Amino acid sequence: MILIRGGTVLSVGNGVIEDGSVLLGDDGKIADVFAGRRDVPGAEVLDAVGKVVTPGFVDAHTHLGICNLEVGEIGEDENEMTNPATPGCRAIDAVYIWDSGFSDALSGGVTTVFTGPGSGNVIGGQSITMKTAGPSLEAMVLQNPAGLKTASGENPKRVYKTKNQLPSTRMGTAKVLREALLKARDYRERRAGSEPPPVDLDMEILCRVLDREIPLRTHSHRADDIMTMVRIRDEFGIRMVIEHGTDSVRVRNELAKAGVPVITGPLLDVSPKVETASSSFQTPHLLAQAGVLTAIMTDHPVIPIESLRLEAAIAAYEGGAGETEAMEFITINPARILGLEDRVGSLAKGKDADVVIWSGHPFKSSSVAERTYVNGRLAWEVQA
Amino acid sequence: MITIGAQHLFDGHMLSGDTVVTVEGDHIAAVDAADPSATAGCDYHAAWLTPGLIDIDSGIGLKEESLGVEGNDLNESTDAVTPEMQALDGLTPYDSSLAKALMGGVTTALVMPGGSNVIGGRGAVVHLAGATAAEMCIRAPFGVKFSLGNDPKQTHGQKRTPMTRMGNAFLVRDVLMRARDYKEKKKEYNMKYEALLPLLAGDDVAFMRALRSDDIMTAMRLAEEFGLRYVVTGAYDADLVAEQLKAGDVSVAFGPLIMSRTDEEARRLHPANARSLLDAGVDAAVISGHPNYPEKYLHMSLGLLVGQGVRPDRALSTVTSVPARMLGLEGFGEIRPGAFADLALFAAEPWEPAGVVDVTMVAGKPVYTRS
Repeated sequence: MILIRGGTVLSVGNGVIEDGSVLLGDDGKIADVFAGRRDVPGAEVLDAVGKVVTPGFVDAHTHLGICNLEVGEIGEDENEMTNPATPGCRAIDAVYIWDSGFSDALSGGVTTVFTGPGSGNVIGGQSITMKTAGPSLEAMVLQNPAGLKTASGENPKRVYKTKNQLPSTRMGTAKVLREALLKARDYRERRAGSEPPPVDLDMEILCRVLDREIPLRTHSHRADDIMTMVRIRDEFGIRMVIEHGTDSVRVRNELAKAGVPVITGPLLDVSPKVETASSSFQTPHLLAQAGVLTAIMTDHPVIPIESLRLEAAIAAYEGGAGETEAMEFITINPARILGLEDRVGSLAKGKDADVVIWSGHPFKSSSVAERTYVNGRLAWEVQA
Repeated sequence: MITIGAQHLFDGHMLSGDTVVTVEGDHIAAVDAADPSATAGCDYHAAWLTPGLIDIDSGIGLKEESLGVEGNDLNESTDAVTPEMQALDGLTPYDSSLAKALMGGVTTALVMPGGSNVIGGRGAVVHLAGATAAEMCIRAPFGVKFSLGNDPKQTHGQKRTPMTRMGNAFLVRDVLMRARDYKEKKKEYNMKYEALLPLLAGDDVAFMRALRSDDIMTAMRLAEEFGLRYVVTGAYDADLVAEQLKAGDVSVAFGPLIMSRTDEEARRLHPANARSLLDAGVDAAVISGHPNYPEKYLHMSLGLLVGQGVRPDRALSTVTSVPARMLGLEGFGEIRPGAFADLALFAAEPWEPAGVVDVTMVAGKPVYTRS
């Protein structure tokens, strides 16, 4: 057992505990979170006086390990742009766990990520959620598949227009997605019948979407693209999360009513496209105020994953969210969106022992993660 | 006349406590230490007051945000050597990044062509406020942009020289030798060579983008061969050659501090390298690298330096007095009587995200006020 003792504990959900302690159990779970500094027999004690202790952060939209750092194009495996619909592609087959992005994540206190295909295709493929440290990919994975990536707006139509291929318009994009879901509905019916069709990897995963087992994770910036996706969601009764949602403030009340979560970002960049023109650090707060379950992403490597905390910090101070709400955007809210709220996203007894000890508040750029624990094991330690 | 009461002042060099700064017209008239009660009657109040920040290597206004090719005028990559291009001719005052940069307290930038060409063209020192490029302009053309390493290789290698680092250096040497020759026995007018004459005469400065340590050393070698005044920009690997940079009295514009290390050349990019550079006593500014990192958030990227143990005053000088000196801008990047009243009023420590800007002034006039 490890006792992190006497720090400022930002528990998320249970307030700030000044002079608090967190006990990491040998089973990789949090054994206790308490005010004060009582002794725990047999525990290794880490003095956290003057430090800030937080749960490991959750980045609900990245390409970590799929778009590798330091090697340029050779390391890009996020877009199988040979076909606008590739639901059978699986992120797990492209994640390189020795990529230095993983240690970057730990150095920025990020311990859980959703990582998946890019937005070059209308249907990009299957994403996973995983921890950012562990002995093997299999040991690190939390959910596989965790969602099916789809995309609307500028990206797929730009990619396929240059190939003189469908889709070259927003209508074409919606057609590709709708057709795939309709074919899957047909496949599912025939699969249940007396003469089942041969196994089709693309159709199999779409059936799991139709069965509401996993959500569509839909890249949409412009408000009309967002609402097109919500319309398709309603046509098929499927689950959906909006990714980026740059222009989502326009339709925040509709999204709240529809119960569609939004993962906003990347925010700490220079708006690259027409459809990202309304990018703003106020977006997450305005969405949350309207009742939308909201998180912030880095879209790593668009924004380096260790900067997730800085995006949340700007959302707090410039974007109007304040520290408590902004902290939720990178902890419990993404955990809820991913369906992992029982395991990660806050410091509470019984949750995974993903804990970060900071030199100061993580919303200060000058603070550093001194130690990051994943499943109760030390995964990162700052160099002296 | 306006007065600004500041709880904390960074004057470009050092930190001090309660101060009243008096602005007359476009200049600072007086800087007086005051007790807290004296600041209460001022026209403006700031938790932290700094000179307007200066970004010494930016593509702001040249690559307009929220647009694709229509707004991209960063690289005239139809040829690998284009010293005759001028950034001011590609600069749009309507790039929404400019207003955002003012919201981040940045008032001045050296806008230069991108790094796709071995020689990209000449830059412009501009205020980030103004209705036209001419109104924004402080000094142009100024600065010649050079680029070594992968960018020109990748941009041109399939069509023309350079395909290698040798090709990069060859093109630099070749055009500078020809320009020198042209200067001596001027024949037919040549716009490329003309653009390089102020540099060869020591009246202009080469800004040499070099990321890897070997490219940094190539930049030094080329600059010294031709006796150029120069600044090495990017310089991600500069800590590896800090001794050489110090010994050669080379100025470095490091950064950006926050950027994904997707390319091989960025493999070692880390704020700790900037710290090593400063510790070694190298003359170093910090850049935003806009559009690679937003100019607006230059201020809070400095917190990463502070987190590495760099003193806040030292960190702030890398975006104020140090780049002003590198640009030869007298009266910029400082708060002292006689200096230009380019000022940023922060709500908290300027190097932290909490340090949002309340007011930005250019030449004594508020150009941004937080609502």
